[in-house]
Amino acid sequence: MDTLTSELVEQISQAYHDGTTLRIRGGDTKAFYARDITADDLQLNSLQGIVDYEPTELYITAYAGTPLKVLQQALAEKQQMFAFEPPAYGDAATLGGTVACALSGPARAYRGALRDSILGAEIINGKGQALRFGGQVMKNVAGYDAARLMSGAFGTLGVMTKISLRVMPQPEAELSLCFEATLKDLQRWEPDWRRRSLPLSASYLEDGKLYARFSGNSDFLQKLKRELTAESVSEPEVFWQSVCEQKREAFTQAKTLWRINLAADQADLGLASKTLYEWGGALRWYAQNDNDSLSPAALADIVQKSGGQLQLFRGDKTQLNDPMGSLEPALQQLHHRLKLAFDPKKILNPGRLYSWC
Amino acid sequence: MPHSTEISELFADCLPRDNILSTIETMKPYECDGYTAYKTLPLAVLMPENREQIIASVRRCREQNIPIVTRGAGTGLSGGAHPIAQGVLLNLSKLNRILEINPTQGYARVEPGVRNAAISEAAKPFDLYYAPDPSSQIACTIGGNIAENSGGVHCLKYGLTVHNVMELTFLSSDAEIITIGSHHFEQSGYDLLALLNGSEGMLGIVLEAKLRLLTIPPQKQVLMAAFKRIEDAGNAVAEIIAQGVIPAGLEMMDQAVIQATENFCQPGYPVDAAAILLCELDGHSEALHSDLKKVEQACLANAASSTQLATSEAEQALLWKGRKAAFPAIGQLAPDYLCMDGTIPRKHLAKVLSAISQFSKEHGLAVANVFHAGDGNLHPLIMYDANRSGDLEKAEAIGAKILELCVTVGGTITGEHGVGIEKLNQMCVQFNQHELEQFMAIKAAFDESSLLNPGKAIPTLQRCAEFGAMHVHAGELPFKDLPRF
Repeated sequence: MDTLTSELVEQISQAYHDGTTLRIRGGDTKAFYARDITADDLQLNSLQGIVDYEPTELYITAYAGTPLKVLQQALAEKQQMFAFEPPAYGDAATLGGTVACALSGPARAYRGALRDSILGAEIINGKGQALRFGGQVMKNVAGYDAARLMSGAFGTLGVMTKISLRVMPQPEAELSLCFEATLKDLQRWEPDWRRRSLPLSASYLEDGKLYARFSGNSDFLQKLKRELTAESVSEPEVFWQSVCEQKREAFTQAKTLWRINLAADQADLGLASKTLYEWGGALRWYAQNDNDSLSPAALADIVQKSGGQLQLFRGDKTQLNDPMGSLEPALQQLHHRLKLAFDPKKILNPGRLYSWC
Repeated sequence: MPHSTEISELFADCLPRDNILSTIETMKPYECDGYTAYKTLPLAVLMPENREQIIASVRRCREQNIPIVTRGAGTGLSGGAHPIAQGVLLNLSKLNRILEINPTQGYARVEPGVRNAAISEAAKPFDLYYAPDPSSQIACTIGGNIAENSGGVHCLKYGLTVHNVMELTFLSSDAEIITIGSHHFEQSGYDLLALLNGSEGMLGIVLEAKLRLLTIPPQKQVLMAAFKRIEDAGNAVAEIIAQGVIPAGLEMMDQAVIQATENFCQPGYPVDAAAILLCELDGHSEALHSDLKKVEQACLANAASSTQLATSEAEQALLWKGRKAAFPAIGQLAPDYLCMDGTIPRKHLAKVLSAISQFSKEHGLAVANVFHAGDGNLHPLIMYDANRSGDLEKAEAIGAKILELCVTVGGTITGEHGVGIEKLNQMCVQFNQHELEQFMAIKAAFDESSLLNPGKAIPTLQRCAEFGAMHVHAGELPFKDLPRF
């Protein structure tokens, strides 16, 4: 074990002994997401560096504090990428924070989520024990998949120190087009494109315009461009980056930005403020503006009735005790038992994901 | 603990009497799964027909503290569904309804006893299919696939079971129904789908699953390349991936398998080759054409002695036929074989294969190798004769050495077959005490009273301590005193 990891083990063991709660900190770029907590800082951003990158084996292993952009640069040099197109929200964003928050970008609906790319993780649990789960190979069914479990756990089950992710080749070419479209058009076209095996890699609907990105073979994309009647998107990389990180005006002007996941074929929820659609309609951003007095409880009710899940993504967190939503009682109990299985004294990021966990 | 003669009485109000098997004759077919080296009769085999009967049975087991081993088709290769003498075997194969195929949203909702291949058959009229295709797909059930996180020959591109299950409803050991995942893309809270997939029936009993369906690719091509040296075949695979091609399937076979399959079903493999690669590409013709060129060049640049493109569907099927018949073909060479399942970083392939050949010589048993080359999953087939005294023990010793070597080079003891009872000792090699304790804590969070498939997949610390001692005296045999719990 390297010195930095041993120091972390010591710090966490001490905290376990003393019952001191810890707030795990990487680049702090996603502090806005989920819940704020007060606890002693456990800094991870000095735990940096790529440990192993094997382009032909399709994996990269790095320390959790490694900046995401350092990894992305290394991958780009070999014409590779993370398939899930992670949003960063700043140059300081780290690999560990990215995995802990499990946020995937526009490609998620077509190339899989962050959790799908996880191969292995080294963690320190709440007792200060250094543990290694998974590895660098895609097929691995020895023991429970505790490495993948770390994605989206917000550090509440363990402090990740080293992570192995699957990487994929960059597409040969991309084609981004803009269509005049309604939600219903999106809901009709997207399954149709899928049925035709068109290499869709992103879809975004805002104000009657559907932006679609196709990625793959350049000859095929040229043929597709001739077939589909649509305008090209100018500066497509900048455009998709602004969708990925919610930097477009439609997002930034919102007083509260809600993240709604529901079945892609669900109708328009009939809300007063603007809704932005990704993933063929399965991810919806509700950009609640100043004049929209819909209460969080009323919105939660609407989303629940449509079978979806609601998160308060950005905005005034005091509106809700649990911005990440709630779980069924049996599921909540199971979460609680699992938390205790990894962190019996609840010292790791307590309350960061849910108030009770 | 009731006596086995009273067992059907005990479950009489849980499920129809005809669905309770408790005599030796009726239970005999269930004494093992696809891992046939050991056999045990359970107290009873319960065959519920619906969710209510499962719940009633689990409640009764809980009251009586009777362990439950859940089983589907029993095709598992590591003994995950091996019965426990003091427990019941819960056979879910009667729950075999496909509840929904949604062609627009691309998913299927199924009961746990639905066969893997039946899902793709039902989806075919909509030009859809279910991607994970373990070799036993004609028989194996989706409940078992989830328990083992099954793979197949197409997972390099399309993922394992864990990548294709969207939502799961399971019964906990305290008979609570819990749904995880979602019918869209994201899950709330912890990624419990990650834990349930591959948990070998130790965390919950699958009641229903929602599976992602993919569009059947517009076109396919299959290329075969032959190599004089196995290292060259390995390097060709690395080069294919370096060129940015992710084949739908990428399989390698060594000389022993080539010869055996050629004798068995004449797929037209070059029998003088040290290794052959089968590469399946899919997609639209433009992409296929360009990828195919890259693959062919990568093979030739690495000294392929020949390449052959299957142009018709019949030719493609013939090339695949050999690969798919590899196991039965080996079955003709020897009365019995053990199929290992390690995964290794591909760069160590040559080193691992040469070590395997060394182990084979040392113990005097032949070993043939099939390799999911794209994802590093190696299946050495160790041939032996169960009727010859000492052969099984030798085969197991070779197997153990191979798996330990897989761990040493940075891989894993099981890529897709699971730990079950077969690889409990090797778990002690791959994981340390704290890691095993963490697994046990996860198990306890789901199943505090340890009713669900106890004794499988995660070895006790005591077992590892004993194995450690055995390990020093190489040649002594694992599995000698297989514990029932």
